[in-house]
Amino acid sequence: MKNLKKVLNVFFVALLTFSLVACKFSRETISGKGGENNANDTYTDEKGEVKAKTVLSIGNYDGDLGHQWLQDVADEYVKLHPDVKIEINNDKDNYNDSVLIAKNMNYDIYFLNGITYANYVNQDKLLDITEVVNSVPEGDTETILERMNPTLREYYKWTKNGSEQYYAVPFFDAVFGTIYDVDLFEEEGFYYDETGELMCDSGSTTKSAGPNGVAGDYDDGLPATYTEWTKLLNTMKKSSITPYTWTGMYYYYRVRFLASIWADYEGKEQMDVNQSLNGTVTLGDEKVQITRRNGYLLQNQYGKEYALTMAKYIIQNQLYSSDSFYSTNTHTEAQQTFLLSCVHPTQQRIAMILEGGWWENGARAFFNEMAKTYGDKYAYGNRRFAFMPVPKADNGKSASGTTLISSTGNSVVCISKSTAHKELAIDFFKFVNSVKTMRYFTKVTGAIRPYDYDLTEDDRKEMTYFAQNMFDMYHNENTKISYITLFQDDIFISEAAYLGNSNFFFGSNLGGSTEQEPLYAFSQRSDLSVQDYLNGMKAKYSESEWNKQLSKYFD
Amino acid sequence: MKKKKRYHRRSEDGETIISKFFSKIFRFIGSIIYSIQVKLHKIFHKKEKKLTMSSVKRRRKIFYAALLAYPLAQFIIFYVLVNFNSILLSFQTWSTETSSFYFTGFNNFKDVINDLFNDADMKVAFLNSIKIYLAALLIGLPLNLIFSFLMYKKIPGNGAFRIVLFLPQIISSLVISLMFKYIVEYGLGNLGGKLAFDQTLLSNRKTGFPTIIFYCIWASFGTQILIYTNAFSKINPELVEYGKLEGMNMWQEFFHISIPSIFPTITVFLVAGVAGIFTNQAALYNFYGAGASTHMQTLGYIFFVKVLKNNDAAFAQYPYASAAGLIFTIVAAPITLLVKRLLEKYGPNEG
Repeated sequence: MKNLKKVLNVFFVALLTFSLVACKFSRETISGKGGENNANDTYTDEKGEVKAKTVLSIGNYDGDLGHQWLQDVADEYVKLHPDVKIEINNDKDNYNDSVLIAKNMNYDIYFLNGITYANYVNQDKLLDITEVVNSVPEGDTETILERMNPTLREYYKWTKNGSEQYYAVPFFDAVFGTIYDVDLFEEEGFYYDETGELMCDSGSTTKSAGPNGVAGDYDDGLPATYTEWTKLLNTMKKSSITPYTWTGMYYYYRVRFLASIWADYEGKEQMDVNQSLNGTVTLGDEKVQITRRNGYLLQNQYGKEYALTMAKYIIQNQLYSSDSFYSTNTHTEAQQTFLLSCVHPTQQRIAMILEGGWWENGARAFFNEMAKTYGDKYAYGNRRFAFMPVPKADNGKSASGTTLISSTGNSVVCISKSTAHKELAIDFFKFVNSVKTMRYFTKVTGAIRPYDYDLTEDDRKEMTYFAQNMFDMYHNENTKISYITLFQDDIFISEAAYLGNSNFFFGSNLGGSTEQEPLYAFSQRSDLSVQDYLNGMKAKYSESEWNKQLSKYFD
Repeated sequence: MKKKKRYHRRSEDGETIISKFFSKIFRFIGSIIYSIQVKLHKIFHKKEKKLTMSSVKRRRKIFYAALLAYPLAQFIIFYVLVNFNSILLSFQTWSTETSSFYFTGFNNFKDVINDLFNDADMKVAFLNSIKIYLAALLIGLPLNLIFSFLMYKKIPGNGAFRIVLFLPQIISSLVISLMFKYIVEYGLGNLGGKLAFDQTLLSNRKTGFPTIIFYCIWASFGTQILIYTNAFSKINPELVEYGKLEGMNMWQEFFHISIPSIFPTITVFLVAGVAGIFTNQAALYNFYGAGASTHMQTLGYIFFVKVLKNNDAAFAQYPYASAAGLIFTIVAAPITLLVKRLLEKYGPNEG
């Protein structure tokens, strides 16, 4: 028996050891090794000599965009440069803003989700890439800078001693807002026709021009006004369809949804003043010049009231799934609930989810899981989703066109100052920022890079319906993007506690404490009115409070 | 019967064969290890010098130094240096122009004190921190003592209770809180425990914080029960026997013998609780991430989240948080020492 015990002990120790080894192996696989380009460390040059490859290391933020696209691009590059080996190091936590800045940036190139650009430049972490961004990548006709989004071009321009320099370029752009199930809308006739009636009521098949008023584009048939929006939601509810779902875990998803409503009402120019505290806004019928001294007046923007009105309507009429405030309901769980609702035996079907442009690629694995169980029509790319622009206010004062918000203006591609392979890093950087690679990025991830580039018909065929819809909307001449997380005034960094996005956007003093987010506040206090919430916002950012907190920054 | 016997014999034979096989392997491995040991001994062993008193002392000193080196290094790096840096930070401010810290005297302290007295959210957080402490003191501690005492008295099923109560300590706190969340939101929710269409005990404004308090008390049960049971078991049996002879019932024994006997242990927890009032984040981050509603935040949570946020220029908030930490230490340290002194002076004791 004693020996049997010994045998069992040895067995369990061996089992534990093997599982630890397994952990180690899997980590190496995840870190991007094993790609075609990494098969050998040596190559044979033209003279027939065997030489060691130059290793270019990349740090990649492995979020919902994943790393497959980068692996493919690296493989492509290595095919053209057999003397190079590219190692991609995928991670999330280590590439967060405050974590990375405290470390040495040991890899050559980084693809990052969000950084405080000024800190990295001031701390001399990044290589000056001014020459590179002013050069034309192979096969292109314009420089990287010429194709860059104008707002971001300005933001990443670093003026030092009179000269303009660049240390990073924007990585990707993902707008945030309402994503709707196109298949459901078509099945149920939830689009509006040209007479302003829902198709399910009128039987018509010609879609209205949508919120932007232009027929034949990305928003046709969608509710154009607040009244149409409320009518649509009520029709959904009557049809036993849950209009909205969202994550309960991350409250900023809800804040961003409301910010997207606010931004679309105000338009890009007026919305951007909330990041720069410098510009003219219309408050009521008056045009007001906003500076650091009177930034509190931005609480009077009607766009906020409009967003609160929509929030109150959603909550008051229970137009959302019941787990939308559960802290267990992460963004991935919310995505899965949304996707599964069409086959779920007991749950109501869900029409819309509050998400960012990255969501479909992030949920790719779940789409394919669903396909295994329910059939190929549920696979990634076979279901149709699209972005729903914000309906215009009934007062007719909403900005024209479509204004979208992006929370990814801080995402960057940069080269580490300490790179040991400067020339190679620059060459790969240009390769990654060429039109061809950007097209490939969009094709694989469905996300967009904030540069001018077109897709070919072949590209589009390989993209999902959602990715095509996003690309069309993003590149439409009537669409503008407001970047809500850019620190366009340093005061937002030094006074982050007071002016942090969710606070300054929708923080409200109510009953002795601050509410950070209106949807939750309305769900908890049925007697709370839009006006109460607005008054709380104005109290939190009253003139006296503003002066008390920020007067030291006034010139 | 015969069949059974045969089967039994066969199984015995099988076991013998297996055990013989493995004992051979173990012996073989043992002989290899032994021969390696012998070889190593021959290579490295030097003739032992005659040990003098001073060499013995020196060796002992080296041994003690080696023993202390690692924890000492850890203490110096992760406590002394980190706290020293934190103290320095509390007198600095983040410059957005140079992206570095510069000295600004007592500005951060002024800001923290001003916020503590004037900011509505800070006041709520302060009250919540006190509520958490009082709940642990007035509800958690008595329950812990009672359950520990019952374990010590070996009530029926005490082993099972011990496992059930200690279970939260064995499993990672993140996993436990995740399980708790699912039980409350989906388990209880589906069993009719929903407070409204979209509200569970955790998401409801009125019940959220009490649920968190319940969780904190429940989750901390295991460790305290283990320590208290251990302390109870060290009570002099003759003292207990004497009490029984005097006709004490179980609860009299609890109040007059057991509690006074383990009071030094209770003191440790009470003092640690006072010291942790300002730093206790009450597992809020596990439950709500960085988005706990302000009405349920504690001071510990507020400052934890301040330096945690990833894309919100967290660097700029380090000095403020450091100053707050220092202020809390200045406030908590004398209170902690006072409580300790009072408990030692006026608390019950065996004598």
